[in-house]
Amino acid sequence: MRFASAAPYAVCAYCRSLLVRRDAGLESLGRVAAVPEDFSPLQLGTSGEFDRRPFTLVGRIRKVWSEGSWNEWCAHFGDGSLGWLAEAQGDLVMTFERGAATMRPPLGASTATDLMPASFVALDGQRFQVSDIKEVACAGAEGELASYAADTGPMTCIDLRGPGLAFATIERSDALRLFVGRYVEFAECRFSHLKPMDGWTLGSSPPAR
Amino acid sequence: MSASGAQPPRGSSTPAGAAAPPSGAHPAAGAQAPASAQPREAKAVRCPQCGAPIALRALGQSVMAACAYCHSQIDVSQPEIRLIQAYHEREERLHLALGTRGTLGGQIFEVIGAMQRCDVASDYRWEEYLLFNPFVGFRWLVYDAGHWNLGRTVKDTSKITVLSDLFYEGHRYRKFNQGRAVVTWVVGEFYWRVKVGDRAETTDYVAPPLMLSREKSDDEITWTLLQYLEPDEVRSAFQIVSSPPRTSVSPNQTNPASAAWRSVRPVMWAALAASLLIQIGSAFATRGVQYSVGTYDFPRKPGEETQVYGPFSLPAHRSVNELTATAPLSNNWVELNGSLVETTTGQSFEFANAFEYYYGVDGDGAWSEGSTQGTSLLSAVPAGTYKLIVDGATGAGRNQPTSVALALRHDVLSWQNFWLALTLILSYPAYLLFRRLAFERERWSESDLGSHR
Repeated sequence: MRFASAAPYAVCAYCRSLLVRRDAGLESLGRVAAVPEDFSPLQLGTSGEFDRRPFTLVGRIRKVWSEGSWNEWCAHFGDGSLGWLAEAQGDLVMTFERGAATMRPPLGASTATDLMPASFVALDGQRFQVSDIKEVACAGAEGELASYAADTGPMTCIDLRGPGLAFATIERSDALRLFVGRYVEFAECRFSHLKPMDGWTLGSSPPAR
Repeated sequence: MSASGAQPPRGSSTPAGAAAPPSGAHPAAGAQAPASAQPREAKAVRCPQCGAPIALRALGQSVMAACAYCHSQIDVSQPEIRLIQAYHEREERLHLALGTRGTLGGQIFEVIGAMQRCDVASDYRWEEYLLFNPFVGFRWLVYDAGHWNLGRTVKDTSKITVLSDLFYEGHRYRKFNQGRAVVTWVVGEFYWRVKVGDRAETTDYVAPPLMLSREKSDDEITWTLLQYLEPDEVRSAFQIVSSPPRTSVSPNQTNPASAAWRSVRPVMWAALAASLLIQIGSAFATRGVQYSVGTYDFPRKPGEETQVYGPFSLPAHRSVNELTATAPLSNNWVELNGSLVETTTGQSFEFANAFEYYYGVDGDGAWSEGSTQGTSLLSAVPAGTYKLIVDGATGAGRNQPTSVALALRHDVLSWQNFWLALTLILSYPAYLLFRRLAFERERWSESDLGSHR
């Protein structure tokens, strides 16, 4: 098992064991489901850039809720930092995990449960509004992961919209985690090593007949 | 996805799978199968209603799909697919078949879903097609009474400013219509659950060929930016054999006269400036020399009608000369015919100068018409020495004038050519502006909010 990043979790491609790094080495947390196939043009190894910082996708979690599902790709940046590239309904959102103190009021057990759709919080001094609250489970995972939901069970996912393209998510389970970022355009990421899509080409070309 | 899966047979051609659907032997076959058990791209589930295979065109994104054969609506958001709504017959006729691919704006899209919506108040109906490209995402193709619009969701709504008009990315949009839309039928794949009866409050703002459409449902507000497409563009992109002709002007249809007007406008300004410059130049070049000619005295006996004046020296080259005749007319007329003749070459420039003046009192009060003065222009007269020959006539009677005062102005500024040029230059732009206005009036007659201004 080789790690390409400093991500604490990884899924073994052969036995589908979820491994976590401990001081002494790797520890298996059990097996996880394979990611159900989908029509995403992204894959492990796809590289791109965010704000001119190159990254490579090293892992993926498939999250499901009652009305659908989406991908969260773990993006490994050149400086070693990790981000999450969420891919849902044709939209891409890049977020980075932030400390609870980023939020005003500070993110805590009570503030997280008090959040309702349309309520406001401040993040980095900007107003964010709760757009969506849903119960989420993990349907599968692959590669290296900055965090893994399966070890905490089902979670509540609180999405927030900020000014412009700003976006944030609060994950509430046993722990509280805050992710802040923004929407990105497929084209601005300048992806390479995309998954070949049968019958589809990137950019313009005559219709497939 | 295999080649046949990308372009599923439509119409009467029935695939083997649909001709002999498995009789429940493999419920939801393929839905739960591990990814390694089948080719990666060939993702087909079986319809829980009729057993026919359903090719999923936006797998992983779609939460619902429709069976192409029985048109049942299927929930595909979870690994275990479920029936949402069973249909047994073909739905309304679609203007675009599901699974059709076409290139719009340089990008290929596949039609994966379609719904018809209707305005609650007016029962007016239109169709919205969901397009998908795995590299680009989703787009909308909206069909409305022969008109087509390509739409995309606006993510950064902070760039939209709504005052009395709406401003977005440097364009000013005017509010056009407001209403409540309800989904009347839905087929195919969608990335959220669309149900017949779903309602939204809609507001449209137009800046042709663009339109911004705001939709407010129970839990969210979405903005869609729509771009008008010429029907031919859509017809050739999706190989549509026939689509009904446009019968009305759409809210954001391109005004056909606007483009022509925009291309003509610089030419018009240049031509106007040129003719104005020529006129100003001529005004400086002309000298405007006044000659007193004398009077034409009407003869007391026949044989003295022709009277000769001059010679006058007219030094300007190719000059315009103005002959003014003035007579104390009182309910009478004067007609002068004559010519300006060069004394050595004999070259002659003829003129006719007729004027009349009548007045009186009737039931409406005092009236008068005509003038006691007439002017003739003699153009392109070469430099030389000229005689003026005049033949006059007037109405007989007590009020007969005895004489006409003649004045000749040499080398004057001619306005005739200038006005003619102006008329020629402005006629086509005026026609275009009229056409543009008529089109805008028709557009805004469909609006329940504004009128053309």
